[in-house]
Amino acid sequence: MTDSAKDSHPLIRLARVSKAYGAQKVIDGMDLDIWPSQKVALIGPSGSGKSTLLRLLMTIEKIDGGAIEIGGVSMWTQTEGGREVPAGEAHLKTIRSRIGMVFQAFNLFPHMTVEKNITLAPVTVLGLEPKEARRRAVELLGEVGLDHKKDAYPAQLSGGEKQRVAIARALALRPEILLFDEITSALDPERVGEVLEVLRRLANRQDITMLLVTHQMHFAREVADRVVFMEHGKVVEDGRPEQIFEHPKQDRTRQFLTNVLNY
Amino acid sequence: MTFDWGFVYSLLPKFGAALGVTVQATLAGMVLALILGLIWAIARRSKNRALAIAVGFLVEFIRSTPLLVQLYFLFYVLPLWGPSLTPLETGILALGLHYSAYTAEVYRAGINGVPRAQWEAALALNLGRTVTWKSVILPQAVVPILPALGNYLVALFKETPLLSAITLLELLHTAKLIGADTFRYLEPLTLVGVFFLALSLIASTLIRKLENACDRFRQG
Amino acid sequence: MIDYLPALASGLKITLMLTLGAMGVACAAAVTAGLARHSSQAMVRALAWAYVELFRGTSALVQLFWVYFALPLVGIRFDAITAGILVLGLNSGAYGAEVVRGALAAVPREQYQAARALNLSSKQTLLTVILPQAAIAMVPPAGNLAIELLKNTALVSLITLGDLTFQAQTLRAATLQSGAVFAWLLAIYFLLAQLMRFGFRRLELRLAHGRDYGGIS
Ligand SMILES: Nc1ncnc2c1ncn2[C@@H]1O[C@H](COP(=O)(O)OP(=O)(O)O)[C@@H](O)[C@H]1O
Ligand SMILES: [Mg+2]
Repeated sequence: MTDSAKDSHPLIRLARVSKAYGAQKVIDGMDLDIWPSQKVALIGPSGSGKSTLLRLLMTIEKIDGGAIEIGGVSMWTQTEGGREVPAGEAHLKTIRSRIGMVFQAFNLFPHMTVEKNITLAPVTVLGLEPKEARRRAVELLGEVGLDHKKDAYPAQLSGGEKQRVAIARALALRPEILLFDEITSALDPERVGEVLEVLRRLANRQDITMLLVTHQMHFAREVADRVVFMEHGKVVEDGRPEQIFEHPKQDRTRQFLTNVLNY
Repeated sequence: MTFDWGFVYSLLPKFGAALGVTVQATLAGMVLALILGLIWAIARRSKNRALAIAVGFLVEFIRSTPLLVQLYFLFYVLPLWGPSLTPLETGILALGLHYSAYTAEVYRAGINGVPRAQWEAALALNLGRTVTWKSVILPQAVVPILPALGNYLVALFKETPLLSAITLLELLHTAKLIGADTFRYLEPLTLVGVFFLALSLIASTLIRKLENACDRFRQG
Repeated sequence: MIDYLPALASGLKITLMLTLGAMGVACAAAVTAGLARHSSQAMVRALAWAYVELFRGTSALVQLFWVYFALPLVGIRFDAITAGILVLGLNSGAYGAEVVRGALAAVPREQYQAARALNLSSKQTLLTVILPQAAIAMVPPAGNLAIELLKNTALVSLITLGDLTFQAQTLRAATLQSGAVFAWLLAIYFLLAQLMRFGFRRLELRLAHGRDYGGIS
């Protein structure tokens, strides 16, 4: 963490956040601060609440307790006439406009071409001219190496190509924060590389803060500047990649890493 | 008494105008059923619990009461409240309203068939309610249910003879009047029956074709 | 309203008679035609198909008029209530036949094979193994059909049979209270339909109790 970052707000702040499904506490009083332009790898055993955490940040799920702040602004409350009230849809839209997400199962819109998948949000949300949006889409497709696929439908693409389109789609809204949930888990092994290559390039951008859930430890080590190990909805250990992977402080972290690396 | 083909041919012109009424009632009724059904289906998913429950009750109510009685209700009661509709307009309203209860269920199934992940992707793109429904959910919901909607179009078409009960001169009413005039019910009523039967058979063949096409779309 | 109760009660009696009578006809027709659709004889299959298409291809009202007004001219005469029960029953039975056919087709093939392995005759197989299993899949759609049948009984008022709807029409003409009369009428049909839904739901739960195929699921 740099000194200048310490003076400003964390871009993402979780304070005693909790979330339960029925009786099961999935996120259990979690605290976490993430600073602008950090690239954070989120690791942990399956069922530890990683996806839930990302979904809470994307406002797909609502927290049960605690608070989430984005750039110092509370996600689920707003002030109205000097009083704290539950956030309205307009407030949530403003918050959401700073965040993008890429899903494990791509979640492209199957009835739209690649280009339409990418331009829909810029045109309807940002109010971009369709022509300008299409130009941007082609540019973004170029960045993920798919400029020749703009007229294809998702069903005509390989998994790796779909995931690169999904990344381009998320980038089209120019989010400050990008959330990636195991985006290579649904891919054939030989298709993983092309997606990681795109991520590697994104990781070099200072204007993007990334939070990525991954089971690829070597990759977490390569692109992340911070690794958070969580279990049972809590942060167990948090540090620089070299420290976490080479000198884990917690037994639980060491145990987990031994298991995944030997697997 | 035997079936008199000469008599049948002499009847055909009289059925011309009646056919026009039947077609109008079918098409307009279906458009209404398609629009209202969609409104019900979306309202039933509203975050406003009271609205969702009220619409759910309305749909169940319409589905569990006879179209004929609904028709009478609109025909005799609506004028007391103000709007004075022609029998054809009343018939269209009743058919559309009645079948909207069925199309609402079909839409609901179609909407439920869209994976939750599609809603989440739309949310992550900050699309907003209107765009999410219009551009993401409905296009995916409607294609698989086209055959089911088609079946209700045919059902609605077959139900148009009911409008004879409110004096509308559609096919069945025309047949009955001819029967009363000539004391020959056999030919005109048989003609009407055969007409509906033939069109229903053709329509169900077309719908089966549509079903296959929709299956291919889903796999594609 | 009290003055009108006798008329409504007699209308209700006719409506219920029609519904129950036609349900009986429908059950018999549906099972017969549904089984016939699976027959090994092409002729039997064709007849069942023709019955189903004929009655589903036109509406119950057209069928009712045809039987009540046209058939007498070739010497076949029914009184209104018989015509009503017959037509509504056969109409509903045609839809029911498709339900029976579908439910039979959905019984796993292994069940037929298991019955054959036990050396059951095909009649025994059908009655003791296949139909009881298919029955549970038939109940929910049969419940919907029964409600459609109840709704269709209102059509007999158009052949001057004194059912609920007919009595309501008479009341409307006598009292000119259109709004109240038809609102009550709708409410009564709705109530009857809910009772039927409840009954079929109970039946479904009873049949479903403790049922599984005794195989790998
Ligand atoms: N929508 C849901 N309803 C009920 N339980 C859920 C739901 N989503 C996740 N869970 C449960 O929450 C726990 C954490 O899930 P998740 O956040 O997906 O973990 P991870 O991504 O770390 O594997 C799991 O036990 C999962 O079964
Ligand atoms: Mg997960």
